[in-house]
Amino acid sequence: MTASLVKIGLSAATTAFALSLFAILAAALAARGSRPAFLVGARNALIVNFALVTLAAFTVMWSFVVTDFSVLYVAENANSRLPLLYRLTALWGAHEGSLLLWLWYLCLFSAIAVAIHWRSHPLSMPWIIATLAAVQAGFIGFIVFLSSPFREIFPAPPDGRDLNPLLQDPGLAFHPPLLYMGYVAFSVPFAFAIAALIRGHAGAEWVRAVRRWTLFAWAALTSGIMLGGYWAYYELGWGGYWAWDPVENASFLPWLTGTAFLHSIMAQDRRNMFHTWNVFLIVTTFALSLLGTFLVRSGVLTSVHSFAVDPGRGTYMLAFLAVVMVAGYGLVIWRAERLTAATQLESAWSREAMLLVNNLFLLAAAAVVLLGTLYPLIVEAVSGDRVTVGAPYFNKVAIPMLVAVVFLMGIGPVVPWRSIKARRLRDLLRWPALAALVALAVALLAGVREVIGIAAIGAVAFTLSATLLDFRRSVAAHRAVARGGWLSSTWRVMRNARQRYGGMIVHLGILVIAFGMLASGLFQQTVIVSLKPGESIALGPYHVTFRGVESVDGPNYRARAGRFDVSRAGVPVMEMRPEKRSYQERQMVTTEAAIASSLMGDLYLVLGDEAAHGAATVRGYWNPLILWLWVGWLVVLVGAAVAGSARLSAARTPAAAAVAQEQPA
Amino acid sequence: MTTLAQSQAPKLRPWKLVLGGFVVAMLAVLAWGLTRDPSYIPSQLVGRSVPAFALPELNGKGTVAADELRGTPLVINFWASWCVSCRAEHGLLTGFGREVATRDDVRIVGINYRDAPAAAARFQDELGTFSYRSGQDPSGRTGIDFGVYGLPETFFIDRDGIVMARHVGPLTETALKHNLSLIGVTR
Repeated sequence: MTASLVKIGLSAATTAFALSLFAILAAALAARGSRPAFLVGARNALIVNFALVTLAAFTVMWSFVVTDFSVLYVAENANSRLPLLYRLTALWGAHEGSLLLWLWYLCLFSAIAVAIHWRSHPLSMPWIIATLAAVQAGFIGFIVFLSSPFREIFPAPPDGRDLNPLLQDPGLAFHPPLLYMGYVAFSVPFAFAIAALIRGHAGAEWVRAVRRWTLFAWAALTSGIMLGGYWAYYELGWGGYWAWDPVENASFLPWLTGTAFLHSIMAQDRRNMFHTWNVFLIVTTFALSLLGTFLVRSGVLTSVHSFAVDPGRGTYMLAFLAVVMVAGYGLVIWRAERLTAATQLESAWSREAMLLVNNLFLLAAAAVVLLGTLYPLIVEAVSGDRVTVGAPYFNKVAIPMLVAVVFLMGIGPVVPWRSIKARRLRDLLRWPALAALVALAVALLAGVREVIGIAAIGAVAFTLSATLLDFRRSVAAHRAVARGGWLSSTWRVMRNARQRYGGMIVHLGILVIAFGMLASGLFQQTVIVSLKPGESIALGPYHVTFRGVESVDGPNYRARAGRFDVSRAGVPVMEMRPEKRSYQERQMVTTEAAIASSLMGDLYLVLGDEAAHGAATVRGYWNPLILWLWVGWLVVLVGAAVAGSARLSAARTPAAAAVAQEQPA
Repeated sequence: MTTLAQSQAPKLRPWKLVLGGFVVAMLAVLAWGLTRDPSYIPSQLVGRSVPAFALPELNGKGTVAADELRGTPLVINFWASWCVSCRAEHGLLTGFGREVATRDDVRIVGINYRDAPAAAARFQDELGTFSYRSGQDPSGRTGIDFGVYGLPETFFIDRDGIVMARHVGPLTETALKHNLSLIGVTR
């Protein structure tokens, strides 16, 4: 009975494949001969595709719910003892299902995009639909022909292989969906850019249309990356959150270029500049999103993940990436002259110049991260040696550029469009510069000796004070006119310029994250010791006493749990129990760190190997202020929501534009 | 009008060459990356002596030990009934096992990794019985000595007891032939 369910899923996906090909053709014909009926057909095909792919994804998900092991993908990624939550999230636990999720998002966003922009962008619509349909066709074809989650096995095995234990964690269960949401949402701005390129239309309409899509994609990608870091920190048990591993870098690359794009489209909106640059950035961001999926899922770099890789899959993905890159960059190269900006830079001290410098730093950071990620491949191609590029390279080359970006975050928003007088700029930045100097002195006194750490502390202090001062100036200016109280004035200022102040709140969130990173990176304490029961260690403000190890059983694992009594200034405060779990079905051992979090810092304990007489190796960390990373993330999300709630079209009406003129945004 | 048309005609500019070159180079590196054999994972064991083991046989009647297998090129295959990828190489292995039974210049043994004998027997009933012996490694201790990462894995050992190759993932005809040649066996 249920075995036939995935057959329905496969038929739905196959139909969707045919419809996406139809949509490409119909949309292209509609663009050539302006035949509205064809365009309506193409649009409806995209909307039907969403329903079909939802059905297809549902059949696989339901097979997980009822643990139907006659479905190969279920047998490989679930087990009768796996809890329901993880049976649901197992849908994206491996290759085939992850791509199905990717496709589902793509169909969802395509349907939404054509529905809401149908009336406002009639001339670009054929090419937007054709681009989205082409990306859909690429993914559905892959899923139907090469990487089918609908495959069945006969006879069905009595039980499944279980989900990878590392993925049996709430943090990772929701990390891929968020990350993919970000990756895929960039496909809509990409489609708008392709349409603008094909039409050779230089205007700012497409940029305004994609602003919210870009913000949404950026916020989702940021959340995916932060959640991934959170998962690495809580589940992997090495005391850190970011390892510059190829898979992490693959998600960081589109974030860097997407951040650049998010900023530079403002210049096209406000000053009618950077046309070619913007289409280049979004093509790059989307290509890097695909590359991220490709690297993680093809086994090119992470050879340990490549069990079921068949060479056909890798070839297909590469061919798909090649089509996107050649078509996208080819159009940029071919159409560049038609997009030439109407306006030129007037001054090196202007918002647009600052945005350009910010973009160059972000792009340079992306370039060095990309180089470091692919370097092992290049070296092996040239000399045959196997090398790995580790954290020291990335810390040395990428971090300084990111520190520069943080510094620019302090200058850019206070500099107006067009130009500013040098004297006025000096006045604006006097206090932030002083704050930076004070922070530098404090850092030196606190014993920080790393140049880049000191520079980062200075940059954070500079930008934090510049951002807060900017808030203060705007509120004071509003009060001078409207005579409200501080609170009500702040509220009005924020509400009237949501795009600007949403952005400033995002900046504050990024600063909070940077603050947490700096504190936990520069002042982390680490101990690795062998302890006998009764012995203790000092970590941060705590005193940790080892009591012994005992056995604990979970639903699908067995564990050894260490018991630790923790006291602070002689007063017992809690007991901590780090575990070492062994999952029976997958035969994998995972460490479950015990973590006591507070805004001051995290006490982080990991149980290592056991020795004779009840002794055990213990790794302990004191990570000061690391919780601020996740606090900053929430601030970023609030800011993105505020910025996204601003209506750009309203600001273009004459009355609103007159008001907007007074705001420097 | 003419100036407008001229300004809109595509021109060859340095940045276009750089961008085009970047696209080509990027795709070339990735294409090359695909040609590598993803099943090749560097192993600490390659070039060293095969770890000692003495395991009870799966049928419960004797032992499979490293010492008694010295002197002839040897193939060791780690498998389990719960391993889905093992099904893919099963036909190749049973066929190769029958061939080995008729020659005396190569031997093969299996190691049933972290499995229950009853489940292993059902697996062979369903897919075909191995014509060679398998040792039981229920705790995975021997697997740790070999550095087994995930099933199936196959090790190729020459006549002096030195591990010459490790294959991760289902064996294929070509991979088997290539790895056998490393231990001086032609097929």
